[in-house]
Amino acid sequence: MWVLYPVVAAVFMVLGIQYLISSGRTSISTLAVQQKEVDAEENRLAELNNKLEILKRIDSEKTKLDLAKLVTAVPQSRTVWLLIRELNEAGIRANIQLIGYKGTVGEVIEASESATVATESAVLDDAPLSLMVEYESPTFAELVQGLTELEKMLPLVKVAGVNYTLEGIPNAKIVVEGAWAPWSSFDRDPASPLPEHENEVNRALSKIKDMEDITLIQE
Amino acid sequence: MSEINFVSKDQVNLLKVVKIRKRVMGLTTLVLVIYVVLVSGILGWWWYTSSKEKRLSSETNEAIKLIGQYSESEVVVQRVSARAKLVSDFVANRNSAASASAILLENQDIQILSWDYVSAGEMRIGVTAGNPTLIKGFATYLEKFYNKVQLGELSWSPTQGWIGKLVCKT
Repeated sequence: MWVLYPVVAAVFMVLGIQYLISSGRTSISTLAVQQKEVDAEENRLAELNNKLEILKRIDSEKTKLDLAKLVTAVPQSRTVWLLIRELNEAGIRANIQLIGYKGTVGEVIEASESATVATESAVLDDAPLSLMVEYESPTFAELVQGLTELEKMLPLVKVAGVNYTLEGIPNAKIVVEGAWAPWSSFDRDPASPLPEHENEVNRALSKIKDMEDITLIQE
Repeated sequence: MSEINFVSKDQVNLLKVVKIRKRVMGLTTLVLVIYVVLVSGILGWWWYTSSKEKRLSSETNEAIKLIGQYSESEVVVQRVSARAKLVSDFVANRNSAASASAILLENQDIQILSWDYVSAGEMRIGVTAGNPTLIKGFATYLEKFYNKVQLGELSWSPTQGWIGKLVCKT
């Protein structure tokens, strides 16, 4: 009888090993893969929890206010009417008169005799908001003041070029670019990390804190 | 002198069989115990990882659900971060024309007749002054702000006096 014991034990072990291999669930390679998946899931959960903690700490109202201020500086669409208001306001403050402007601004048509808008550029989605403006008879000091006033206003304006002359009929032609950028898309994966926004936002807000929002200036 | 073995051959064989049986039984039991321990370990590991995987999956789904409740905040954060970068970059890269023009205004000895300015490019200035030394002095003054200042042309006219054309490069 005792001879059967090792035989039965061997058969039991062989069948057991065969089951472990053929069942698929508990084979060593499957277990190794499963362990990797568990590790990956653990990391993902840690990232999600971390993100959740950050989201809970965010002052939503303050962030919205910050966003509103930043959108004032760089609007999400081509706000040509605001750019023209800025150019007018800068001219008034510097005591110089804006006599005309033209540019490729998209679909917006200004109700002004001097305005020439290239509507064919409406399809150019990424085209910069660019205007060429002309001021009448400024002295150089007035022009400097006009440029200074213009660069202190929001939405942000970049003076791309200036052509000033006192000879002949004194005038100044200025090419300006209004800041704008559409909303950018971002990763919708719930585990995607949130950007470290606080320092970046504070830095940006400090750069525009002394600037004037043209929409708050009475016409 | 030789020894006489009084044990029968059958008895000797039986003793041998008993010895072998003990060895086989012991060895088989040992192997079985090791096998059972190993298999238990593997099954235990499988059970542990499976149940952990289920728990993690459930916790992950719960976390995703909770994050979904803050989706508005997430959108605002993503947008504010991107917009802040745009603002900083725009201000940093716009090369202030006001500053460039204010530099020219500081020198009272000359009068600016013309100014061609291109952001981050070459700047051409036409100036008039009472004598050429003042224009050369103005060029020297500009060298504090620009890498290359070139006095391209110097002329005189009875109506405007001395006229200088300068080119400045950063």
